[in-house]
Amino acid sequence: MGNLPGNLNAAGAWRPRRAFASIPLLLASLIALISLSATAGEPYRFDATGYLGEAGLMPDWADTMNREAAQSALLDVCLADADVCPRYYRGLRHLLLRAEGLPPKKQITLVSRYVNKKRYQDDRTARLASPLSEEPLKYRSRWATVEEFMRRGGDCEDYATTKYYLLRRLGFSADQLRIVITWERGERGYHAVLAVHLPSDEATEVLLLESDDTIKRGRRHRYRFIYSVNEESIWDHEAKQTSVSRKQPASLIKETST
Amino acid sequence: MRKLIILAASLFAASAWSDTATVKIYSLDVMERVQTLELIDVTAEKSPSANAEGLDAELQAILDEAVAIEATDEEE
Repeated sequence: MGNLPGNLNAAGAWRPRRAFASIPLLLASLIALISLSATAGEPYRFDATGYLGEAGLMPDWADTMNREAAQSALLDVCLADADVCPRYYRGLRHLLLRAEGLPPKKQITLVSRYVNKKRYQDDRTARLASPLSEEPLKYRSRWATVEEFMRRGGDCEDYATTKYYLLRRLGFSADQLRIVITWERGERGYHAVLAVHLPSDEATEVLLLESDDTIKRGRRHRYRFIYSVNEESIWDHEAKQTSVSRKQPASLIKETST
Repeated sequence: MRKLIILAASLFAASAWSDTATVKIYSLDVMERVQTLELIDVTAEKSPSANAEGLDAELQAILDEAVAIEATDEEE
């Protein structure tokens, strides 16, 4: 007993020294600190971590990209000639033409504010998992194109996709943009934001464009990032076991998609 | 010597089979994960935040002009 760091009390029982007695308290504090830091999410990062596969693997998003490609010609024509512009594009035409010469940060703010002014509309539709399935109906949200959003509004992922395509028109590359699906801890719901990767002279900045008019700059916030997409890829930010390196041969992924 | 060749051939066959199995599991994982992610229902509605930064005069003017054009078109 003489080797143990403590003393015997009056009853003869071993009593640890005061320094050791505080260890449980220190451990509890450490656990509390760790859980607090987990609640405040990490900033979003634009790296290849979590690369899951090509964008075309996600049927709904692939469908939106195809529709956008087919419909974008109308906006091209509209930008070239105001007389052939449908009414729902005239305000957007003015905005895009005025935004062309602005610095990137101003373009981002302008596009985000303009899109946020559009009407919110829940566009969920009930779908069966498959025609033969007896599972209950699943509610799915169709991701809108720019034209669809300008005509009838949309919900949060439609705000994000519209900002994505408008910034692409203003010269941002696909590598700079990702539509990010998040779990919002405070609201306890899923949310979509557009992440913009903005290299500057001093540092690389990541902006999260919100549908409430705020633009969050790479600081901690209350999001848990689930996945993100752009025209080229899907990134899975949660399931590390299924995530693969970008160096993984694409043929392996294609093999299963056919 | 013959035993050694058989052993080497067995090891080679085992390693080849093992790689194939891994690829199949990996591929299934990716597709299952994509299907799971697609089912996430994203519908959050946000009102303009009081914390939003103010717009500078140039951007506010462009935004007002675009909104005014749309308003005129709606009246027609």
